[in-house]
Amino acid sequence: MTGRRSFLKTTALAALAAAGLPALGASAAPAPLPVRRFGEAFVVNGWILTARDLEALRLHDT
Amino acid sequence: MILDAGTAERSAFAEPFDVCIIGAGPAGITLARRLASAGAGVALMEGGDLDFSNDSQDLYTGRISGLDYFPLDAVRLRYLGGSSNHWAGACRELDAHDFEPRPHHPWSGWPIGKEDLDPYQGEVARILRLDGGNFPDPPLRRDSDDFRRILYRDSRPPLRFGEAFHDEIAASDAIRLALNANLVDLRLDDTLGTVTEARFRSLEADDPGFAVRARAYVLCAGGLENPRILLNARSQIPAGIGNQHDLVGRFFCEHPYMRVGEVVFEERFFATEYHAPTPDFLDAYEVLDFNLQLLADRPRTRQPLSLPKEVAREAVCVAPFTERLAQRVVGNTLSCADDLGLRAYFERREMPEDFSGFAAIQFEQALDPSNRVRLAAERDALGLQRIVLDWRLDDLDRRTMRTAVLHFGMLLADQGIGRVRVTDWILEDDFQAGNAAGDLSGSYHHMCTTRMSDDPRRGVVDRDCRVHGTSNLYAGGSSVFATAGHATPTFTILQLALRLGDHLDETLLG
Ligand SMILES: Cc1cc2nc3c(=O)[nH]c(=O)nc-3n(C[C@H](O)[C@H](O)[C@H](O)COP(=O)(O)OP(=O)(O)OC[C@H]3O[C@@H](n4cnc5c(N)ncnc54)[C@H](O)[C@@H]3O)c2cc1C
Repeated sequence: MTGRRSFLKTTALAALAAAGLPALGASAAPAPLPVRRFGEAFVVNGWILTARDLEALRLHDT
Repeated sequence: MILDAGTAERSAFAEPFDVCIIGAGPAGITLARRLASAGAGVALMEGGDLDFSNDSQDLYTGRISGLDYFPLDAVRLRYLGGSSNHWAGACRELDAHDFEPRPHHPWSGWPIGKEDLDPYQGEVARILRLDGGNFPDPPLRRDSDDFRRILYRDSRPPLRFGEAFHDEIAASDAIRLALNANLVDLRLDDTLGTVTEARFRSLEADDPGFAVRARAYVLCAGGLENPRILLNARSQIPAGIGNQHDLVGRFFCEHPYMRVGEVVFEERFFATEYHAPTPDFLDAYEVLDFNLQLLADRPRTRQPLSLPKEVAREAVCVAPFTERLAQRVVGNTLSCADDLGLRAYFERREMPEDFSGFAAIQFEQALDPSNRVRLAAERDALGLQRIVLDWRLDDLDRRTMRTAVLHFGMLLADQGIGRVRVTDWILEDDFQAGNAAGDLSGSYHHMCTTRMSDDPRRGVVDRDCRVHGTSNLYAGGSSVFATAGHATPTFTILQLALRLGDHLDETLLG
């Protein structure tokens, strides 16, 4: 499965370029999105995220 | 024996019965069978026929006030078997804490507990053709103080009570089932405390009607009709029967059903999962009971894209979760391939499965006396006043909804299931907007309109389902629920019907 997955991913990344779409690895770039806090939850663009998600997505609690 | 009350066959109802049951849906049929097995003579009086008819269904038409709700003649069916003719068959019993009074929920609390209904669990499961008698809930992936996983069991195919028990009733000597027998009045003795006869008629214009006499009478006409019948029974008491404290029809509860939003899953997910809060959570956050539903997207039929684009779609699926989440959070139009997509090339058409889905919530509605079934000025073909349903949600509902959604979001993250996106109106507490957008509706469950309480100032029926102030009039069905809980109602309706059967067996026959 892992082999097939990485094969898929390599094929996919090549195909992304061919399709004129952004490469996935680069997609977690910081974005100027408002972050709303509700207790331990953070809401960004409607998504309920954890503090760790914010870090992983390089979003900031504003 | 099955007879048509629209014909001369009504003479078969001249002799007094032990019990007269009004309405042959799941509650009425279950009660009739239970009483017949104890040797009681039962008149089972059904307003509709063996099949749907527009004329009978029209008697269910009514008006809505407040939040947008389904048309009242579309949320139930008026013929043998009642709404079981279109129910979905999802079953779950109420939890023990649903019966307890909760300080943050005014009016809450049943006079009976789960232990009073447990003895009927196995028999109800058999009637509904569920396998096994109890509900072993599966464990959560990771321990949580706030949530537990729950299971619904399905009556599959959903049991259509009219069809399922037609032959048994036709062959029964104990049950006389009358079709086209619409209850139009209940007559009381001079003390106004004992029902002496129930009056019925068919839909023929000049039908003078006929009376059925019994030792006890049980209304099993559904959660909207039971109060309607009591409010319309004004030939001797202007406010209606059982309405001495102006409670009949009040406390109407639905299970508000709310589409929360889309979900992106960490792993491929192709099931339906239910979660519910723990009793500690309900107390800590002072909210009502609810369940959270997680559903995988169904594979959609679509035109295949060009190969590179299909590969791009699939790439989103196989990418690590953080990348997929980032794509979604910062705005991404790609979604996973369905079974017409590239995956089929590589995986040779496996089961439909996906990385996306949606979440929904169904919750217990707050008891509010202003949510009610009341009489409208308009009359139906039988001359009975139609109903207006006042349905609104209040601050406790709002707090429940918002708390449930936010904690659900965190639960999905804590359990490693995925992340959920909520629609704006939920965070803005704007029910009207959600209702207008079609994201918030009911679940076709009509409860608490003749609620159970030992105190006649807090409820219409007592713990035995007997209408306060009467000696021999009872109600069956979800109108007697004291609170709604979050579970689908029919399993509990059947438990209550069997329990009422035992009570009538003991008091009338025993
Ligand atoms: C679309 C839909 C899906 C549903 N799905 C589920 C589900 O998945 N799980 C669940 O638990 N519940 C579900 N329900 C609810 C379920 O159908 C009801 O809880 C159940 O049918 C109630 O049974 P009842 O016998 O109390 O009332 P009803 O089914 O409403 O039966 C009442 C009977 O009384 C008769 N009647 C009415 N007025 C009179 C009168 N004046 N005189 C004589 N007879 C009269 C009617 O014709 C009818 O036969 C669903 C409902 C709908 C509409």
